Amino acid sequence: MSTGTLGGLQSVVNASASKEAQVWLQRIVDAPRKLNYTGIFVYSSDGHMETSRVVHMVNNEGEFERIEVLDGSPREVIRNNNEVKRYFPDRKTLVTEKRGLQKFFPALLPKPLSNLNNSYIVKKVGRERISDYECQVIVLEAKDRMRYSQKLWVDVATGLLLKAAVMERDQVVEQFVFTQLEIDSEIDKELLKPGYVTKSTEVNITNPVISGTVKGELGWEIENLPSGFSKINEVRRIFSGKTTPVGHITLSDGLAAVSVFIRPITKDDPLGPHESYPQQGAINIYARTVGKNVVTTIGEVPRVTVVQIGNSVKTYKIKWAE
Amino acid sequence: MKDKISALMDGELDSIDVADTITQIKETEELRNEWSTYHLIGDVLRQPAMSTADIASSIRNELDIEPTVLTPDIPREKNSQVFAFAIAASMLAAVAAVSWMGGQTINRPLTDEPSLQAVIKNKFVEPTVTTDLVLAQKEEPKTDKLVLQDPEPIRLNDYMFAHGEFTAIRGVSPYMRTVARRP
Repeated sequence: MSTGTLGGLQSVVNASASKEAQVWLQRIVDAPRKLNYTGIFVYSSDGHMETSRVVHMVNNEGEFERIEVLDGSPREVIRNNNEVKRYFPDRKTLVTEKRGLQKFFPALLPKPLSNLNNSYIVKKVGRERISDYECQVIVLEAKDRMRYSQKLWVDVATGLLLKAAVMERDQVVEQFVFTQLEIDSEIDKELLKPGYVTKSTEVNITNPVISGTVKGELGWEIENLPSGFSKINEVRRIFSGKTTPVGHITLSDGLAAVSVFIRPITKDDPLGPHESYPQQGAINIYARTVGKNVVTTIGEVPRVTVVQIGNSVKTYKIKWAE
Repeated sequence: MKDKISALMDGELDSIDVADTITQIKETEELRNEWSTYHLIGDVLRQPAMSTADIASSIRNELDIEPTVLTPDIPREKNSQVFAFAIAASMLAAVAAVSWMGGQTINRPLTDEPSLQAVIKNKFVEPTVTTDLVLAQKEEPKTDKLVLQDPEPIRLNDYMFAHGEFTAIRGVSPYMRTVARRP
């Protein structure tokens, strides 16, 4: 048998292994839309860790969720479909936000996972037990340094993601893992109610985000995209308390997303202090000015990637922004 | 004997005395100590620039110019305190936007922190420095106001939230990384 044939066979084998791995990835995406679960998970990044409790319920009215941080200052997230409320009891603050693009969360994802193979080597790498659940381990190995690798532990029975690590080469950038989990349990609706707000007399409701979105050309282009990234969405958003639309271009390599926000600097909305933001977990943020606009690039990618993308933002017409 | 050591060091002994003196120095601890002391004195006398007094004054000189060196790019028209807090505010947003679950960061002990000047100079603020300023902010309502006036924290939170819709694999919850990590 010639080496060419062997190579061909190998690539067929790789492709089918990758295809199987992709089925697992799709299961991860689908699982929370169908399952009830309660559990404790630990999130860690930058040498710090934090424990949270999650209650997740799906019924004919949609998806409901409550995440309660158990360490440090108390914080909670309550989600009713596309409405998200965040509670900060010690600050007596409630932040309400609504999802703009996805009417019924989680709606269809913008072409996820489709072009993964260009940027990652997708592998099934055996089974491991997490929180007493048998998990399939999937590795998405970055083909270059413009993105992180990911290691995912997927519950074999339900497809729920029980552990995930974002890796930069051999280093774990951030990680979460369930330490206790009950799947498909009966959920007491009381568990989905905020634990603090009822006790607190004054609550400041701040920053209600209504992201009005208009599809269309923004007059901005991103040249010199890192390989594997392509534009998946382009909208204008009106954020709360603002009148000027902000351009929002989203790029993806099939797994990692990078958002570019372009806002004009106006009298009412002047240039704020834009500095280099330190990395936190897998998220990097990079801001710069382009003409009379501020371009902020945010993504769960290495710093070099947000910088390259941010620096590649060019305008060919800036009228809409004026 | 001390005279001989001194003369030896100055190269004023003849060869027989040299050999004799060196032998004695080798054999007597007290003379070895003298020998070292004389060398130290000699070093100090010969190199006044390296004396303790001069080291102190050179540090003083460094300190005199240091603030200028460290803060060349703070806009003069701005009160530097305001500027610092403005950075704190935007940093608060950065930390806010990404550390909801990494809340422990906020409580990181303030050890080995770079000075604020250095931070401004480097345009890189450790979350802990922000914490420092945030803590200060709690004590002074004036500062609190500054933070609120600054649009960047809110904006960055908005951005983070809008971005969160596009993360392909959301794990246990779409809010693990985006919403879930804001303080």
